[in-house]
Amino acid sequence: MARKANMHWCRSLRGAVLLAAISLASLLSGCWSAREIEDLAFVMAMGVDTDPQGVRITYQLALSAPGGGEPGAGGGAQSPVWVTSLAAPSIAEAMLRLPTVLGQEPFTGHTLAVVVGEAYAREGIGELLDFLARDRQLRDRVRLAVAFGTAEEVMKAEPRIEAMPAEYLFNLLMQGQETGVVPPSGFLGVRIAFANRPLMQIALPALQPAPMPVEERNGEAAAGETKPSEVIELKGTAVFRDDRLVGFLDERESRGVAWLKENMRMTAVSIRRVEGTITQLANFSSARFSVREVDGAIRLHARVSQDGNLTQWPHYGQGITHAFLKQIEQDLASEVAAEVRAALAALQGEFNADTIGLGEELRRLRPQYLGLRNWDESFRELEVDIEVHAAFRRVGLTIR
Amino acid sequence: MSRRTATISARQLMLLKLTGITGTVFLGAVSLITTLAGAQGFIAVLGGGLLSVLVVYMAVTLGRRFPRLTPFEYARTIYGRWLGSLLGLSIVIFNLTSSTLVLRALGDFLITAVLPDTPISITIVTMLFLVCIGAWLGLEALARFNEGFFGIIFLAWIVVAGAGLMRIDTGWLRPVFTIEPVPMTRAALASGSLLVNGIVVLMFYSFVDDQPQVFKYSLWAVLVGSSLIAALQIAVVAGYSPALAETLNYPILELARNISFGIFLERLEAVYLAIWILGTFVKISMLFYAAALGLSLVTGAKSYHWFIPPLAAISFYLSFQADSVPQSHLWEGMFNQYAIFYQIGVMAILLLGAVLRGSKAVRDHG
Amino acid sequence: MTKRRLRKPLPVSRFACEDPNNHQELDLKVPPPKPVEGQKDEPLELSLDKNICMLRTRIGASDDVVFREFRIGNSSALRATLVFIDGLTNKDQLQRDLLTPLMIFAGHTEQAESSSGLHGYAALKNHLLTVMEIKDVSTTRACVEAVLAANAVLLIDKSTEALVIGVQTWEHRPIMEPVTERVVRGPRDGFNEMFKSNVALVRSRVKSPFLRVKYARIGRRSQTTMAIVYDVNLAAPTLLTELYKRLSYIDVDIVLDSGYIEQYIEDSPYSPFPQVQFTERPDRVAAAVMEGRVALIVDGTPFAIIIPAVLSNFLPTPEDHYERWLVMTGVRLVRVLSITFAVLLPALYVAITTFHQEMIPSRLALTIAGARAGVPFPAVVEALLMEVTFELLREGGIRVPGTVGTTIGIVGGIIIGQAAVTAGLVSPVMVVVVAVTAIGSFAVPAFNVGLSLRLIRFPLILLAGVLGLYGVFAGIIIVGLHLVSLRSFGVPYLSPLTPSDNQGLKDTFIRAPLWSMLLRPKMFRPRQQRRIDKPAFVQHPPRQGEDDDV
Repeated sequence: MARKANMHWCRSLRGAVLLAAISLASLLSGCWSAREIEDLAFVMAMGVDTDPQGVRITYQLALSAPGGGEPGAGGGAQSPVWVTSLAAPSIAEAMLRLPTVLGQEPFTGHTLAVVVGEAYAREGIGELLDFLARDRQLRDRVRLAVAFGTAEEVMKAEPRIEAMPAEYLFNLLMQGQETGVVPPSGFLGVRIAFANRPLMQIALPALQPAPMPVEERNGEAAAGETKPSEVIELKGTAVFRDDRLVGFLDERESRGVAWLKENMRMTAVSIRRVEGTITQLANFSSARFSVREVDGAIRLHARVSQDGNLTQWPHYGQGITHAFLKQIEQDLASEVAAEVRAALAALQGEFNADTIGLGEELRRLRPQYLGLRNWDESFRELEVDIEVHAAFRRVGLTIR
Repeated sequence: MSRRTATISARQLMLLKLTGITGTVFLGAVSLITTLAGAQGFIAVLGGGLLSVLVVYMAVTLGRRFPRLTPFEYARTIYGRWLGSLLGLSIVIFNLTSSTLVLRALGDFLITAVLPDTPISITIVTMLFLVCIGAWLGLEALARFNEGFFGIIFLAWIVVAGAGLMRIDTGWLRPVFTIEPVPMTRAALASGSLLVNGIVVLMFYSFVDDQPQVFKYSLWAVLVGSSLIAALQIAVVAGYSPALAETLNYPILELARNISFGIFLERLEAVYLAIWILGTFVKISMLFYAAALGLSLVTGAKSYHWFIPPLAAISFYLSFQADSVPQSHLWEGMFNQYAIFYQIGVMAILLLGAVLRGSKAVRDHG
Repeated sequence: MTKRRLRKPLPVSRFACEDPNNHQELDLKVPPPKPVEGQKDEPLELSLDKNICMLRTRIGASDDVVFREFRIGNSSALRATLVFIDGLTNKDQLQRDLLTPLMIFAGHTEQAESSSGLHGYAALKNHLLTVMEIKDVSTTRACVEAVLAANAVLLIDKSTEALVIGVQTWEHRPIMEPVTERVVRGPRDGFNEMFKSNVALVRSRVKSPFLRVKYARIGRRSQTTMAIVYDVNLAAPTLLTELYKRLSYIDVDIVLDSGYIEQYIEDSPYSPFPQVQFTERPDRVAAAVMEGRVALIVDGTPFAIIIPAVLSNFLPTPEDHYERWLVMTGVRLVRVLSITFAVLLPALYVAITTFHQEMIPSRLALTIAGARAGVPFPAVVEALLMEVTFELLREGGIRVPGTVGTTIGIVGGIIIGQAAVTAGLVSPVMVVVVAVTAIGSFAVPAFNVGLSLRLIRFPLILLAGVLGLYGVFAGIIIVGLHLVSLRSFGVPYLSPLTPSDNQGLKDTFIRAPLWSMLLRPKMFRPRQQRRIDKPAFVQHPPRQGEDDDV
């Protein structure tokens, strides 16, 4: 006989695998979570506005790259996105109603930016934050921003420089953050700020689509007819207290905040002197906080250090001496300090919103400080000393 | 009896323990510790590690007295047939509860994170079948499987922990050494039970062929396991700020979601998930195997194989008892907080009994 | 000890190490195959006519069986008959070394004239017949078997013993480069169908006095000879015992290839993975024997089989040890990568595009979505369709003779893929995926493992379509569990990965330098662990300006 009969099939691997195979075959009765990639509507950006019904969401949906045709492309469409708006009682409901408009399931896994209209922001973005946090597909790197006017206009902008308008927006916000024009707006940072209020408050970039010149047709200006914007301008910071928008900081004040938050990668500081403008390209900046007690009261001391390259000075052909550099550095430092003070004045005085996170800094240094308990009031009275060290390190490649 | 044919090495036991730890840490461990101890959770984890060493020591001492017997058997030796069987059954129930909680948590996790429309029964059933095969094949196969895949599993964990640690803002951990005794103790107890060393050593000591090495390797397992959990804890708390971290459902998943290699390779959490699930599979299979083995020894059956399907069915039924994710989280949290007491308790009872009665395997079994 | 069944032997690791100096050899025999029905075993009679009659009834009806009658010596007293099969025997040798001495020179001896008896018979064997292989038989069946085995049988009147003379020769393929295992660098001789020359090829490489070649016969009607080659100083005795036990259980009527034997002796016939290695190369056999493994060389096939065989034996090519270690380590890593791709890539593609679209970089996701827009099938079906088509192409290409076959495979694939894309049946991305998969599967050196991996791909695609990456990993768990519990003659299939063995690991994913491989891999439990005494380091040539002697 060739082989003895296998007496205990159940004990062998065979039995186990057979059992598993049969039962796993039952799984083939349905593929529940499967979605074909071409059946997805990629939401590249979202805009949120107020609406009598509740909210009005504007979706910027990606059209597939050439090779596929999406419904509503409108034959030979130049724009790679399709913008559509939807009004609904809540944001989640709008998302769920979207398939009825599109015929496809929306996919937010690649969403790059969410823009909030000014009116909506003034009423509170808490609902939006909750929706975004619960959404399964969104990334933490989604950028949020506030638009002057409505977010819908921003969504409708058609910039020419990038293939995808949302990418343009995303890169714009990133560049703005790196140069200090706008605050960092990653969704994670926003959530952290919101969770730690009032010691930190949310600050978002402020945008505005640049108006395009109205075209003259047949000699007459067609009233009210504007082309979609090609440029979106960064207009500073939108300051929030808790989840409501309370005001805006301009670009100078935004950079003042940025000096204290160490987010900038490269920014240009200009000093105006009698003979002309001297510009420094600062590529290093840091801020260190310490607490000093003066007459029983706490004073926060901020030490800002920055250095960079001299990139422009009015006397072409004339060499720069070290002594002169030292002189300008004083002016530079006071310019930076002025920016920081302006920011603090606006935040402490006008808005009473601690978007810099000074409360959190204070907590790390003096956790037992009583003023932290009611930071809403204490923030106004906080005395902050600013000390700036500015330096020129390099003066360029070719000439002295 | 199965134990005579299945032998694993002490190193494989250590790896099994490590997988047991990492197999469930992404489910609810970190959020539990954060809830209990806040920013200083990682200190609690290290405390839990010390506790775990104590538990391991007790288990090894018990094992040395009865080198070739499983706890189900020597419980009967020490306490007589009925009481001993009861003790053995309690271990079985502990294993079953533990694995059911993990199963449900895993099912919910998968559905929330990766497979939104799939009914949860499918994920649980799939895992149960894999576990059935794994437990059927026995400890040796599981240990070898684990040994083979351990590299990948650990690599995935190192990547996640490392990437998480790179993004932290250490200021969130301050002030570092304000230790509030009660929350810290609770968190330490919780992490002690998460480091499953004790119960694994207790159950599988008799299967190891180089037993003198077990304690040494267990120490390594405790060290590595608690370091990993502590690192993850720091990454979560300092990366998300304690206030936000407490609100997160699955903090480790969040960590994994936001790892990006360059600008183009991101959202790889499905890959990490799948690798972590290898670990979960090993852990649940281990517990199932031990439970089936216990049942077969307590009832005197010939082999443990046929106890696996009923255990799977019971587990399947029990896993649906929680109505919603928050409730199952709650139960899981409660179990993890108090499991250590059971582990210490059972071992203390056995050890005391063994010492008082002076029983040892040699004396009683010749 | 519990009673063990045949299929799951005691693991080799269970037994203590043998004393390496103990050369006591096992005396193991494979019992000969059962006789074909109806063949009784009658002793030879004294009368030549009766013997011839018996033989004729048994095998004489064929036209190629020749009965050459003659008389020994000058006198007409002693009759003899030579029985052989025309075409199988070397007639020149028969004429020269048998008929000539017996017919011509026998007359010069006195013993030949006396009546037969042992005396005369012995004289024949010792003085007259100048042939090399000669043996006595005394039963009809033995005569028949001998004639069928291409020997010539000499029946002598008045003698109950017949002489079997080994003069086998027949047309056969010369020693050529092995067809299935080509190397760029390395020996080019491969086995052919004559097992004696095959054994000779192995012997010429291993000139160790410990090498043993034991013959066995398998197959009732084929009576196929088989040589069991091993090194008695290295092969574990338990392995040999187990092998002989399994061989003795084989009852089959014909053995056409070593594959028959493989399927009878392997541990787990239901596993998709092979547990026995086959090879056409004598250098591979020699290397295997040096590791303590056993080779079976079967007559009539150029494929020798080597047991035990674990997964890490199927992955290296013979060249792996002939080239330098650094280069070969890189090649091995690439090979591992391509094998992983070959198994996982289609399933990963299906899983990611159907369930985990967030993993794909945004632009690529849009491109893929656009490419797939016109395709009517879901990704799972598309993948299965393309994979099945490629398998068909591959099978078809094998049957077409010569190089046309491989060309058809490649060109056909490209053309059909292109046509399918244009027709809108599949997306271009799928064609790329399938192409990479196909290329990856060519990287597997062993054909049988390649087949297994191709087989595994399909369930993985299905699982990916149902549960995404979770499904893929569930499939990997099942395959992993299977591999982990599989054994080949007691050796765990995933050695040296688990249970881990440092020496073995030096030769799995990487290839450590030859001079650092001091020990034989532990997994085969060789009786002697050490290969060499100490590593022989590469000597630097003296640098310029240095003095050799102080």
